[in-house]
Amino acid sequence: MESFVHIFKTVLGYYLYDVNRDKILGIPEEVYCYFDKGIKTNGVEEYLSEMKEQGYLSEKRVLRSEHPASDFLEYYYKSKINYLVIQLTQNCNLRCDYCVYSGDYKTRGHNKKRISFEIAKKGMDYLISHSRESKRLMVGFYGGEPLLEFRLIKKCVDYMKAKAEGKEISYSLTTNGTLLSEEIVEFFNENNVRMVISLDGPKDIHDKSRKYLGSNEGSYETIIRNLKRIKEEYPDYYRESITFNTVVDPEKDYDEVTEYINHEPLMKNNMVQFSAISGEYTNKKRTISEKNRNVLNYDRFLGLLYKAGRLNEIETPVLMRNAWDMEILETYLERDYRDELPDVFHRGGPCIPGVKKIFMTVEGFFYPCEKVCETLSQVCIGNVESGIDVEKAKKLLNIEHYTEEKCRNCWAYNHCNICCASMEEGEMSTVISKKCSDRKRVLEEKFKDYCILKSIGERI
Amino acid sequence: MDNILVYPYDENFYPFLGMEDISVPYSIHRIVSPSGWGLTGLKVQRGDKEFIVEEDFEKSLKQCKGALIIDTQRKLSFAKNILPWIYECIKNNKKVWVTRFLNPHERKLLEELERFGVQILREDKENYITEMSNVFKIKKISIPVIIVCGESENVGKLLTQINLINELKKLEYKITWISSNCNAAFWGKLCIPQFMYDDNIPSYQKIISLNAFVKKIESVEKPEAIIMGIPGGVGKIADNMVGDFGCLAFQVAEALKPDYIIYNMSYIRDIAESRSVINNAVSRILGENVDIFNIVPKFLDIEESENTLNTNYLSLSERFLKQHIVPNENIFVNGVGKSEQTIAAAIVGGLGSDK
Repeated sequence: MESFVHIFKTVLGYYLYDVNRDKILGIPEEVYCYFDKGIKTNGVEEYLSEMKEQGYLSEKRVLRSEHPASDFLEYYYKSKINYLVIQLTQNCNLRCDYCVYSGDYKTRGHNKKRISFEIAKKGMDYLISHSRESKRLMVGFYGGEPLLEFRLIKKCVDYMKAKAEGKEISYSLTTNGTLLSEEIVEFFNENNVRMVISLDGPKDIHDKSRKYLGSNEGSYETIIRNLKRIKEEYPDYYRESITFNTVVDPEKDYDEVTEYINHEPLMKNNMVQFSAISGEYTNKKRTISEKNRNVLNYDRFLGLLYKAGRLNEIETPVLMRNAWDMEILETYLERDYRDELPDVFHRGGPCIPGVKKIFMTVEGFFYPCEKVCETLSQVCIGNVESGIDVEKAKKLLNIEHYTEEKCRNCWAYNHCNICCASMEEGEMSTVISKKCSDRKRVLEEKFKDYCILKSIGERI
Repeated sequence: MDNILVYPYDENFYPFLGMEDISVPYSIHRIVSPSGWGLTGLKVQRGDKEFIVEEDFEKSLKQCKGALIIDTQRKLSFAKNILPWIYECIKNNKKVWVTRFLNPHERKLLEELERFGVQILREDKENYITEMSNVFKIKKISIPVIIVCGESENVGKLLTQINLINELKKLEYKITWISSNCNAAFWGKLCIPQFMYDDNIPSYQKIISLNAFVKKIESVEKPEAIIMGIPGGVGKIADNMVGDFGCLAFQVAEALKPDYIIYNMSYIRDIAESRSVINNAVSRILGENVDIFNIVPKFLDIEESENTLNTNYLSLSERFLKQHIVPNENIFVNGVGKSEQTIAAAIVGGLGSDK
């Protein structure tokens, strides 16, 4: 068996990632060529011997797949739940082209279903009674468009304030921003409800996709009007509690969108999340245009310079200021936490379903998060009446079982991020395997960015 | 005995539920928790007493003579969640005892309510700070000192201390207990003196003063042994979970020179293999080897601990520990060792043989 390693190079050097030690090492070009093409020149043998003496280049693979948290699941569910996202409604007043509920994706579509307060209350009671060992609680409101059910949001917040006395609670919701009346904003400001508002760029781009139901009219003007009012009346709340989500069509709009965000006063001082149109549970293939690829790569370069302290915030595209969440990667790669992979282990990717978050639908079914396919029974982990089904959750936690043989030999084993959000109808090992090459490509890019920053001596 | 309620009850107070002392004419009758702590309705059994955690303070107070306002790990606003209930007690002519930590403003406020029956049991200052002219000497403690320490807070040290004391008392030993948990003050028990937590006092002075504190206990109470709990952890768990690096534990060990060390720790998969590494780390701080590794039904939640930079645990069950750990000569599972030996028996055997 070969050493369990992966090689890559950047403009600044050659690198080897040792899977067993979970470490990236800089290597000479000759050693890179050896691993890449099998060419062994002078000095390579000696170099490899020294690496082996230092505990690298092990061939070890995991022998049996089992997530380390499997033994503890029943205890986690008893007392460590802390985040409940309540799907208030499956209805929306917009019909955005790319929405996962638009009918183009293999999941549920828009409809008029809404949650009853009875079910919402049971969900909140479940959260409180199973969160003894969690220091704070989080309640999120989701849709469709959650503001269609503002009265229900109020009832839920008031209920939590009464029933969760003694716990710190935070609230959040994702909204299309069209229904933000004065009453709603006043309530959100009083209760510090954090909002993620969808805004896709300048009017012509935003309105292309985000239109009102049954109309060709775009939602841009309404959102901007609302934002201006909120910023004027509640400037602190606007600055601290509002984040934007910008969905970019990689085939078309990237440079116009970034130009807009970098200069729009309503957005440029807030956190902006950037996401591409979802590629999960759809057969639609999306590619990025050459023009947009060049602009994106240039912006990434500026983002790296910002991360390395060579550019200030104003000079850096807004979308790139927080694009480099390297801290977690750095923590793992710089920690001496093991000599080799354990015999029994699980690849990276799945969170502990239900512990990180419970997503509760209008019917009261529990899912690990709102990104999963709601029509897939395998990803349902329970319901509000009987609670979390430990065995079902264990299956999702141990998702590696679908692709065990492939995963055990994959260099991305430690840092894979494929989870049940990628699951859809079909033969599961095939479904999951389809995601592999793209995820490996993204991970390698991340490794390269990490190495470049380290090479120029910067703390991440 | 008159009935009292305890507020805000949490699991860390559990060991005190069976506590009684002839000098304290009160018995815990009700335990009340804020509803958000997720404990409401929980049945709690301690010895032959059974409780149900309640959330209605007013209703519970009606059946009691007073309320014990305790110190907890969980944070609770004094102004929003504590003071209103103190006023409720005063309004209904009920006594109030306070062992909760108070900042200077809160202490001053409650001192003004003392004439209404509010008693602050947590001392602000102790009188054991010695005049430090040219004295840098500590004196040998002549009786066995048994230390109960642990990897961090929330590893069951209090339960271990109380169970141990009860068993040694059954064997007719006279024990003085210096508790790691200040709620013990309600029953007139000694707690770690407050000066040990004062950052303005230099380490050496704390060590000498603690030594003087314990020497005084030795001469006045004449116990056959002293059991002392050390709050916090002995050393760091990881680079991002450091606690106080074991500074308090070091100071206690320097002051008292422990004769027997019980180290409480959470479950890990390979305890037998890790024992020597853990012992080396602990003995570097305490100056002596660990005599008993007491594994408690807790599991370190590394992800949440790293996110909050504070040790966070997941509670397990005794059943889980029994399935996964085999006790041996110095590994105990929640106070019980090989052949069902208790910690008390192990100590009597250990101290009797070579100390």
